[in-house]
Amino acid sequence: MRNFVKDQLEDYLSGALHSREQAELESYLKENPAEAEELALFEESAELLKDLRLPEGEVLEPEPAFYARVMQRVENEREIPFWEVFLQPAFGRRLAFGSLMWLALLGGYVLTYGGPAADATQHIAEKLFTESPSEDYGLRLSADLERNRNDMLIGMLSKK
Amino acid sequence: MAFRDTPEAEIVRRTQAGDEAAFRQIVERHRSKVFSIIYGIVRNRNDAEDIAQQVFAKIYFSIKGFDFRSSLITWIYKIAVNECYDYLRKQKVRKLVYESDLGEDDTRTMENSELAVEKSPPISVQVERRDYLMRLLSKVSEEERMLLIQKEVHGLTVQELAGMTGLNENTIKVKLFRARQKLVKAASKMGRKAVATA
Repeated sequence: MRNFVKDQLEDYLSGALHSREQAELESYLKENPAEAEELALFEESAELLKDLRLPEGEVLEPEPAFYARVMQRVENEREIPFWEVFLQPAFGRRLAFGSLMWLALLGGYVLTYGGPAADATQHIAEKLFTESPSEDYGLRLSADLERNRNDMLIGMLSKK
Repeated sequence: MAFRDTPEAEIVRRTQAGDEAAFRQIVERHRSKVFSIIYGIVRNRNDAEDIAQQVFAKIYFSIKGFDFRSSLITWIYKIAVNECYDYLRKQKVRKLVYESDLGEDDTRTMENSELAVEKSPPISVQVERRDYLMRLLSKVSEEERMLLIQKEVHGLTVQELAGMTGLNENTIKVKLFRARQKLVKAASKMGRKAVATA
């Protein structure tokens, strides 16, 4: 396309060419059909773009308080650094609640199983110190561990 | 004058430094243009409002990355048009899902209904047409797209575009010419028939 057409193209497409320029361009296009065709394609695509124009009288402002809504969205979308999670009051509350739950569970367990278990241990100890030892070795255990060990060894040797 | 030397560049620098009053200036200054370009594409007030809010929220979070190589409005247009692309993509998916739920009889009934014979083209056709237009526009650079939209949609003159961008009028004309060539080429690749019917 010639420079003179290129130069006038925008005014031509906007319909802003003066009548003399318009006539010059039209006579040039009559003599250059290839350029006339190219220009027609430009017009076609320009018309297509005009489809995005708003109808006459259409109000083009967003609703009032637009900035406030933008900032509200900004606040909603603001990314929170991962470590800030630990500083949130909600996290503290959850941590305290979780700890209390664990304490309650452990307490419940001890109350449920702790008493009988302790009783059973006591019972075994008493049995060891008071009841007769195995007939095999003829031993009687006492609180003196050293003596018990010696008696046990003697018993075992004598049994052999 | 390069954009980095304009008063608006100073507002951008203040926003980059965390000045929310400066950000507010950007919103107030460009909200109408952004809203109208979005509305021009989506033709739904609520959706346009929603997309415009999203555009400015994106600007808020990414303005630190703005490098002053283009004007602010070019950069904002890029974000706005990209958001519209996303919207149209979602609309298309929604339309496909909706149509796939309809039986043949339902579709025929809808086509013959009063709504279908109204003078304005059906919503699906409008969405299709805008989608085609957006695909065409995606074939030109961001700057060319902004220039074309400002010229054809907002009706700015070459002189006004030169004033807005800081480029001289001849450069604007050359850029617009190249952009138009690319559009025509893209349209012929997609099928000239589509241009005529769109």
